[in-house]
Amino acid sequence: MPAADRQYVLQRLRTWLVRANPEIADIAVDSRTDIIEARLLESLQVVEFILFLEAESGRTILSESLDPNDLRTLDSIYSRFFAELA
Amino acid sequence: MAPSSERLQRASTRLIARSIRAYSNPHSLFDWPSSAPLNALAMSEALLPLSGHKIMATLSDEQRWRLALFEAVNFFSLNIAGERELMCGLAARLYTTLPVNVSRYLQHFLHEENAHTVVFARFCLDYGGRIYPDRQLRFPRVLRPGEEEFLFFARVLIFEEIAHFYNKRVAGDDGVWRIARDIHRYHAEDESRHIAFGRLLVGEMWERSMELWTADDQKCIAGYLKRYIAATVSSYVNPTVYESLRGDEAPSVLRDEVLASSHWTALAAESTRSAYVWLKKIGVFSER
Repeated sequence: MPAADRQYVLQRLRTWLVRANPEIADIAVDSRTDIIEARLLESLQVVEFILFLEAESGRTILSESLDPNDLRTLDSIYSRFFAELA
Repeated sequence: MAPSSERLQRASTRLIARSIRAYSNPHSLFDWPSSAPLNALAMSEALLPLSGHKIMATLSDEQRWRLALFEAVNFFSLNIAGERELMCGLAARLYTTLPVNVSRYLQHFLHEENAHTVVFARFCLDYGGRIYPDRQLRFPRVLRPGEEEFLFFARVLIFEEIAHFYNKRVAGDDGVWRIARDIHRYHAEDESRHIAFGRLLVGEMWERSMELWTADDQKCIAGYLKRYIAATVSSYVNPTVYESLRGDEAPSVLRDEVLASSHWTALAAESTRSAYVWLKKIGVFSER
């Protein structure tokens, strides 16, 4: 079910990041945290993350059309994949 | 840390001779059926990630046939994506820091990988109507001296070890399309040379890395390779494949259930075993 409510989407994204990084005890991520720089999302996790975004947004995401900056913050992820669904 | 041992050079000479003997034209190597064979599956049933899942008992013969076809398309699509990255990396390393004889072997390696993609792409497009898109994206990061070189060849080796497991199993399965078995056999024969080369090269590079990396660096790199193995094997479970079932359950939910299943856990362990064993043998992994 595509979900576009901003707060709901941001919470779902945070939950995914926490689950994907069980070794980090306290993950503080606001909507502008650079999650790549903070090493909360590494290249090896991208396929899983894109599959998660596809399931949440109901759309197919082609990596050749992606810029790493699209995945850099929760804000940029929301704008790129969910805002138009709102 | 470019390896240059006599052992590697001798192995390259042997592998060059074997590649020359096996040299083939991928455009004329196979007898391609004009349409997808209906009397068998395109992929071994035991290798389907969904095998063992309760949904399998509910599928019609036609759905089971389509599922196996799209799992085969996923396998070849993953290999096309992996070989695309591999070919770029091999081409960039020709006649640079490695000894000339090793570069000569890399030319065969490159040719063979390109030939595989010709065959895989034809299979996917002729029978499945598509090549699944690659979902990988690489973020630039700061690397230690020699790390990029080591990780390139280590990733190649791991990717090929996992594919090799599937190739050998499908090639020997009489319940699978003849053309699919032939492709897997052909792939396995080439990959056995690539793996022999990769094991030796990665082993030598790791040995030389002792001069460049601290124990902590080595631990980080080993951790990265463990995560790479897990990510690679998980990519074999592609929810897009499950769209072909047109069932009630969302493909992403089905994927999560597969990843948690005992069938998948056992299959993933089996398909990654040889990579783990080798990386442990050369000292990259201290434990599984």
